[in-house]
Amino acid sequence: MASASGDNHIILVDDDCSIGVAVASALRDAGFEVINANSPIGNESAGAVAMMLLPVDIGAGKGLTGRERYDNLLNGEDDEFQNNPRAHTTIGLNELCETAFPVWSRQINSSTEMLESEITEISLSISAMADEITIAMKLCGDVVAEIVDRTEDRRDGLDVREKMQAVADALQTTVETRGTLLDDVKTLGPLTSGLETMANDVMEISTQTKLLALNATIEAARAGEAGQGFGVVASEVRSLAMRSAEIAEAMVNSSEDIQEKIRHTQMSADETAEVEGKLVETSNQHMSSILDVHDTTMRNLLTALAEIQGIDKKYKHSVSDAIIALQFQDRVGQILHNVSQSCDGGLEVLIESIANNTRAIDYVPWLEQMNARFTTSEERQNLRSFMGDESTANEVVAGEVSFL
Amino acid sequence: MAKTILIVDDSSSVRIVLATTLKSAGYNVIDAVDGEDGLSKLTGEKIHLIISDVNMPKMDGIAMVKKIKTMPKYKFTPICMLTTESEESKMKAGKMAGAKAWIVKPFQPAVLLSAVEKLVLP
Repeated sequence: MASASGDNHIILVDDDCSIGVAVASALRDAGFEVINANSPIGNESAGAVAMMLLPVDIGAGKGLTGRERYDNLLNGEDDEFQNNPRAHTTIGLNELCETAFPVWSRQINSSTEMLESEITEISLSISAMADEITIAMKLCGDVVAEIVDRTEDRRDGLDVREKMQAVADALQTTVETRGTLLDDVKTLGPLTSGLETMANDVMEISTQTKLLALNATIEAARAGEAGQGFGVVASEVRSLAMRSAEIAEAMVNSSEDIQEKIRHTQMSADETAEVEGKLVETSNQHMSSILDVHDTTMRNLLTALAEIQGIDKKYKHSVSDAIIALQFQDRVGQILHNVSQSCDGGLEVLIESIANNTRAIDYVPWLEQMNARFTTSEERQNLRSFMGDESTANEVVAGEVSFL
Repeated sequence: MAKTILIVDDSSSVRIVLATTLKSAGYNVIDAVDGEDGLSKLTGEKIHLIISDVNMPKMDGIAMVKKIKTMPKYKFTPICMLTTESEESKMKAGKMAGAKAWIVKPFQPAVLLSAVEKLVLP
């Protein structure tokens, strides 16, 4: 025996355990405190209660309220209950229907509204995120693709490696050209040496010519008047010899100057070649480093691009899944809406039955209306399952497109 | 020039996910909350496709389709029903009213967009 008090307390009396459990569960769902009892007698300590549900059709037609009938029962003043304990009564049933069914209906409606409100917020958030992620992914993809495109310089058909190699090749060619020029300069040395030898030969010839002219002058003087003309010629030859000697000396001096300058040029060229050689080597090393960095950057960029594309694919798949999942709110809302309407319809049927004091409820039209409201395959399947019907109905498969 | 699609559904979450899906494919979207609202959005602008729910308050989707088919400006506008209603008899009623396609929710974005591409007016 249970005891409690309050306006929301109901004493539930039924000696059929299965019925008592089912009714108690429904009442508790509706917000009532339920006191189970297997007899109407002996619950005096229950205190104030809102209602008592009895398994006896007692007091009907006497114009008594459920509470009055309950009090009569407790006081042992109702003989019908004592004499007919297996008959079921509708005492309190109208109060139960008028309270529980609307409460259930409201709870279903408020749940549906809450569900729709929250799912709408989630949908808005996901929609906004989808838009932002789509923009961000496109931006990332475009930027990386642009960098890759520019780095590869596909528009000119040349990549950075080829361009840098061209610079290195040009530098190497310059060094080689300078080397060739230096080789040419080196060949001038022997040439000037030959020139000097020739100048010395000229000087030797000049000396001998001067001696020859001197002898000729002597011989001309000895010949007297007859040799005067020859003496003039000898004098001129001597002048020419002296002039030749001067030119030969100048040639030797010039040749020495040239050789000195060639040696100087050669030394400078050797020093420059050494510097350029080191420069080329350093440049090659730097370019190799740059190209290594470039290759690494390219690999990283391509990896990043592939990852972005992969993430984009996964993200689109996730958004698609979210879009599918969010639509179940509509299905659930539809089902709950139908349940709410069925509650309202059930309430009308029950109240009408009570008002007419009918012992048998005409539930078939109500069930037919309920079935007619079904829109989802789940609702129809649940009904068929409940009715033990294993057949399958002609249903359009969810998600597929039927062109009409 | 982006094509315009009118979506009619009493579920705000469905309108949002449907609009998100269609906009991602480059369509302009106009939305309405029921059949009456849907009709009020047909103000003379070219609509390339209408996607509508069936079970809605005030005016259901089938009734709206029947009305649209009497409107000279829009009687050739293709209509796709997008609904939780999976019973074939309801789909036949939609066909009789003039709908061109029937999709039972939940829709898959890729499948829906493929159908839209086939249905949408040039």
